[in-house]
Amino acid sequence: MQTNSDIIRQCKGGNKEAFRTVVQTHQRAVFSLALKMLADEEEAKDVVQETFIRVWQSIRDYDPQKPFSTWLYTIASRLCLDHLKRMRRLLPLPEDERVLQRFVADTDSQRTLENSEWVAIVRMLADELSPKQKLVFTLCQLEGLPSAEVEQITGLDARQVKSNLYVARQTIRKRLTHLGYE
Amino acid sequence: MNKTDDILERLRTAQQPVIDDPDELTERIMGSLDAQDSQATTFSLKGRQWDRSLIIIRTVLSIAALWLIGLFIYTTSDTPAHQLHEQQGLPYYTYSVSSGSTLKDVYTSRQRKEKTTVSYTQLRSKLYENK
Repeated sequence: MQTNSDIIRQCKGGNKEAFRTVVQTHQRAVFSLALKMLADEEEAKDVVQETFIRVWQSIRDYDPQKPFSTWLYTIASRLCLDHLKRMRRLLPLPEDERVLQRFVADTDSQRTLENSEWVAIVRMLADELSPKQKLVFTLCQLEGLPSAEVEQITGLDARQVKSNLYVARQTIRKRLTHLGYE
Repeated sequence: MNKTDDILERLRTAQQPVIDDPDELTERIMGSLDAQDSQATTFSLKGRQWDRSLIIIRTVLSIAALWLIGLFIYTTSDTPAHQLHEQQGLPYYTYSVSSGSTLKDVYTSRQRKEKTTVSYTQLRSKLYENK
């Protein structure tokens, strides 16, 4: 059984089959981040593809002392921000509110959410956030990453992460209050 | 826990987004890596061809420059005419051209020179007889 560091070492040596394993292991995590950031399934897949191309191109620069997932998330986050700049703003649709209503009404904590439902909920909640707030909110709140890792991924210090998260949560709270959920 | 925190917490623990066809996406990624590699190879081959033609162009230009410098030195190092005449014992004529670039200028400048030579009698009459 190969360890993660063995696989990365093989990738550094140009082994594409080893890299295939890396892609298979991590593509879902990158897709999850991209979908929540961009609220568009096809754009999210494009980001996944671009992320792994960048990873392959710069795998020799990767420092094995640092966690691979953090490095991967850093690349993916930057690409998500680039895509957000290029994309036109996605406004919430009337159906999105119905999806949110159903989610709020459902008391099952382990509820299954389809991609389209994720897209609708993210569009409803994070629509008014700036790209940086959206990134911090997604990483901390939706992906559940620890603050220290979010600092490394975003390049922000602890205070900036905290303030961005606070503003994001306040904006979402206002949105939910406006919709009558508070 | 208020409603917002509850909703956000439930979102965190809910099922995360899934790729509908993960194998297809993996193949797409691996295929794009192959395409990138072949593109890089093409570019490096083109680069090598370009390097070779650049070397040839540089060599040709250097030879041409050296030839021109040689030609310049050869033509300027010729013995001047007056030295040649002295060496061969031949008479050497120099021509002084009057000022001006046109025939008219040359003619008028000569006339001016002639006019400036004033005889003693003319000078005397100009000075003392007030003519």
